[in-house]
Amino acid sequence: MSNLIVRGISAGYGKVNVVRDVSLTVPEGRRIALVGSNGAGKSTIVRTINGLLALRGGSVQWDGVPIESMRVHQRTRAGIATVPEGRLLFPDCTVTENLVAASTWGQPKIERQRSIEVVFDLFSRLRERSAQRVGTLSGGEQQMVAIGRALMTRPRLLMLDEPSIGLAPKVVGEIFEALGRLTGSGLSLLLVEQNVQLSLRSVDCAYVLRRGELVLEGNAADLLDHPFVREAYLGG
Amino acid sequence: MQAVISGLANGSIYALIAVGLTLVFGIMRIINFAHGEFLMIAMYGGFFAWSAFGIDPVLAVVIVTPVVMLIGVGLYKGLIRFALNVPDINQMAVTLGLSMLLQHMALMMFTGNNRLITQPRSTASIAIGPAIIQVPQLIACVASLSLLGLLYLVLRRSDLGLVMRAVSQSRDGAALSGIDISAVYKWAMAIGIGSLGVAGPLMAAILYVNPMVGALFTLKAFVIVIVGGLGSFSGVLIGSLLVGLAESIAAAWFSAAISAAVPFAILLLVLLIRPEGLMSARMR
Repeated sequence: MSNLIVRGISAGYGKVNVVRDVSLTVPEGRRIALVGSNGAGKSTIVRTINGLLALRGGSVQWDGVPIESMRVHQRTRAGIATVPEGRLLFPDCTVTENLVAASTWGQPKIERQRSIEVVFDLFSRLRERSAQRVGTLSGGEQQMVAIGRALMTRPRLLMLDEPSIGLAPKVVGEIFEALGRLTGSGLSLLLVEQNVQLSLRSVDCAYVLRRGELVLEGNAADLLDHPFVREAYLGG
Repeated sequence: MQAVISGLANGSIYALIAVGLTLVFGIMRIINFAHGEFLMIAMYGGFFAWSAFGIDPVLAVVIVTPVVMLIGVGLYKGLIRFALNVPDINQMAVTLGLSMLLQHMALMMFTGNNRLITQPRSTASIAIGPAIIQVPQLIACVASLSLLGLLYLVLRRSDLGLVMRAVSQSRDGAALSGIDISAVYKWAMAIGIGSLGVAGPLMAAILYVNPMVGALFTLKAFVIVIVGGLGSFSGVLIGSLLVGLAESIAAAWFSAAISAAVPFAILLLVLLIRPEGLMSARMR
């Protein structure tokens, strides 16, 4: 059964439609990547799914229910979590506070503690930094907090908008390794990346977006060998 | 010494008024020019509770505060909610217009007469070292400081405080974390305006109430909030005590007329030296 079904959506800013007639599905428990170069409209798609941006056409369904009229926090509570572009953390709050803030609405205090432990097990560095203000952390650590915060909402779909951007390769490896451990428990993944090679290696299927339109879709392994992908994104 | 004591007492009351303004701004990014008018309403509430029913102002706090909190929520639902996504200048027009509307409604309903709660204890005073302090002022001062302490604890220790800080630091980030932003805004308005429900009745026993009394305190609260740094809790405390102290010292050394200008002199000075305010920060 398909969890997330996006059909023919258009969206944009001002007079420009950044995304035109895009359809994609994220089946339950699958890892899907959405790749494309800077400005292709990847983030716009993420923002229409999580509700930060209004849809101009098409539909978004979650568990068979249209969610276009749901507000952002309602979509999160329904199980769609986002690790947004720019992270949008609470910089003056501690690591623990950032995590707790995402669970106050849904979990009693004892459960929160357990959820926090799950995040700390995933990123042990955060345990050491738990009482530190997030604004003082390194970029990689902040990205870990952003992922942890998203996980605190107990999602069934995790959307990551450019988790590797601006980070050192070693940290990126750490984060993707953690993401690999996450899936398999029924959690679906929608990974948005400019780093095509990296993302195609970590997912099952992928969509290739170019100038706001889907140009390719298929098995991640096949796409890695596809002439268009090799030429356009992998340097031939 | 006398000037210092009464300055600190005034300052702590100013803090209670300014903290609501800064809370609402810090969380909702809206500047409420009608803030003082809600203080005026709360003062009238305290006055009429006393003059019509003989209710002591301290007791009136318990009645007026919930009413004013509800007014705050109503204001959010009925007006502010629609003003959140318009340009700043339009927001200001909305709250400034509301301020004038409330002033003139109060003038129609309550006339322009000065009113004051007078009780046996009004003229009583207590000696603190070489200085004396009026009993009503002492009550207001103690109430302010306790409520500020309580607000601080709520902000720092409770779930509500945490989500308020989260919303003030990243609205979208909070929404993506599943936080219902409009519920948080409602609480911000309830607390921000509701704190005036504590200040109002107690102040009606110190100061004459008239329909224009709010405007004066809006101005002072703005000076305090800007001096302290918009949206900063500790900044409000420092700003209020600074303004209260400077006013009463100026009154003691020079004259009451000069004392009225002192807050604005401080404002200019701070803006020149440290335009972002003394404690500029997001709500911590």
